Amino acid sequence: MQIVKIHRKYLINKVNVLLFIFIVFVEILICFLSIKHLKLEYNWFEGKIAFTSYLETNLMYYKLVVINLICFIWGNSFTKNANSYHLLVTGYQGIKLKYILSKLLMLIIITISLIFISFYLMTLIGVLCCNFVSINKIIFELFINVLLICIIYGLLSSVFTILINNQYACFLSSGIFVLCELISDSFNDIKLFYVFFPGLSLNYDLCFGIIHLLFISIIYVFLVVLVYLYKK
Amino acid sequence: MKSIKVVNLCKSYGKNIVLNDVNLELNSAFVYFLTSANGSGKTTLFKCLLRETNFKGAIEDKNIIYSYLPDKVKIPSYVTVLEFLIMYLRIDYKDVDINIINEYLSLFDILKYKYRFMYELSKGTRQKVFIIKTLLSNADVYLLDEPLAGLDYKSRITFMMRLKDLQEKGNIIVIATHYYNDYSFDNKKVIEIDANS
Repeated sequence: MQIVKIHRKYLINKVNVLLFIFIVFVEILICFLSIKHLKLEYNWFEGKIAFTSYLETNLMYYKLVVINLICFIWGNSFTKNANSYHLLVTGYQGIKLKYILSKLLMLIIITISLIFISFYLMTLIGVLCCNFVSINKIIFELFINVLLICIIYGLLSSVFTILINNQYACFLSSGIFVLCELISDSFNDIKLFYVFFPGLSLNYDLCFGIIHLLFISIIYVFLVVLVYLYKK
Repeated sequence: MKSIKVVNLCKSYGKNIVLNDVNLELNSAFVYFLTSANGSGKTTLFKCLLRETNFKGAIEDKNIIYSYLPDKVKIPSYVTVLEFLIMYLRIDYKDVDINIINEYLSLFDILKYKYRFMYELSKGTRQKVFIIKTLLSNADVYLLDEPLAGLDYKSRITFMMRLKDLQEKGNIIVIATHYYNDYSFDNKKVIEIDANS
C-alpha cells in the first residue's frame, strides 16, 4: 500500500496535473459548443438524434485528444528518468513485482478519475443546459467503453516505452489507435485486428463488447509485467 | 555475521564486457570501496546485487535486504523533505519515528528545510536527504554510489560516523567511489574492478 502512495506522489506531477486540467477544460468547452450547435440544429422532438449527436461530438474528442494524452501519461511514467525512483525501493527481493503492479494500479486510478470527471461534466452540462440529455444506460456503457480503451492503449504505450526506452515510444500506441480508427472506415471486415487493438464506437462496431475489452486489458497487464520484469 | 558471496559474476552489454568473472565475499568486518575507471562497472555491480539487471554467475545473499543510494534519481514534484523521508521509511517501518528523522535532519544541518519542497533544494541538500533516507532504512547491506558528492565537510564527518555505527551493528557497507582516501575508516578494503582482469 505504501508503494502505491509513493507512485501517487510521483505520478501527480506538474506535467500530469497540467494535462489533467487541459483535458477537463477542453471537455467543458466542447460540451458548451456542442450544446449551442445542437440547440440551433434540432427541435425538442428530435431529442434522441440530438442526444446521439452530443455523445458523438464528445466521443470524437476522446478519440482525437484524450486517448493520445492518456498514452503519453502512461508511457512517460515508464521512461528511464521518470521511473528511476524504483532504485529507492528496490532493496527487497521480490519487490519488483509489487512495484510494477502498484504502479499500474495507480495509473489505472488516475485514468478512472480523469475519465470519470470528464463524463460527469459532460452529463452534468448536458442535463443542466438542454432537455435532450438524460442520465441513462448509453452514457454508462460509453463511460466503461472509453475507460477500458484508454487503459488498453495506456498499457500498450507502457509496453512500447519499456521496450524502446524512449519518451516518444508512447506515440506508437497512439498511432496504432489512429490506424485502427482509419481502417475501420475502409476495411470493415478486418475483425481480427480489433481483437487486440479495439476501437471506440457508440455502436460497438469495432470491438466485441465490454467483456472483450476487460479480457484484453488483463492480457496487456500481464504483458506489461512480463516485459518490465524480463527487460531488466 | 551477515555476508554476501559473489561467484563468477559476468555482465556484458552487447559485446561490451563490463564485469568479467568477479568473485567477492563481503561481510561486516570491513567497509568496502569499489574503485575503478569511469564506466568499468561499479554501478553495474550494484545493479547486479539489487537484481536490477540480469547477469551470469551467482550471488549468494538469501534474506539480505539492501538499501541503495543511487547517484541520480528523480524527485517527486510536490513533496516536502519530511514527507519524502516518511514516504520511503514507511516501507521499512510500520510506525516512523519523527523524532529520529528530526535528529538526522539536525545532524546534517537541514532541519530548517523540513517543510520545503524537494525540488526547491540545492544539489548538496538533496544529497543529504537521500543519505538520511538510506541511513535510516532498515537494511542489512548499504550500497552507496558516490555518497560524498556535494556534501560539505561537517556533513561528511557526520555521515562517516553514522556509517561506522551501522558497521558496528553488523551491517555490510559498500561504497563506489574514485576517492576512497577521503574516507577515514580503519578497516577499509579497496576492491578494484577491471573487466579485463
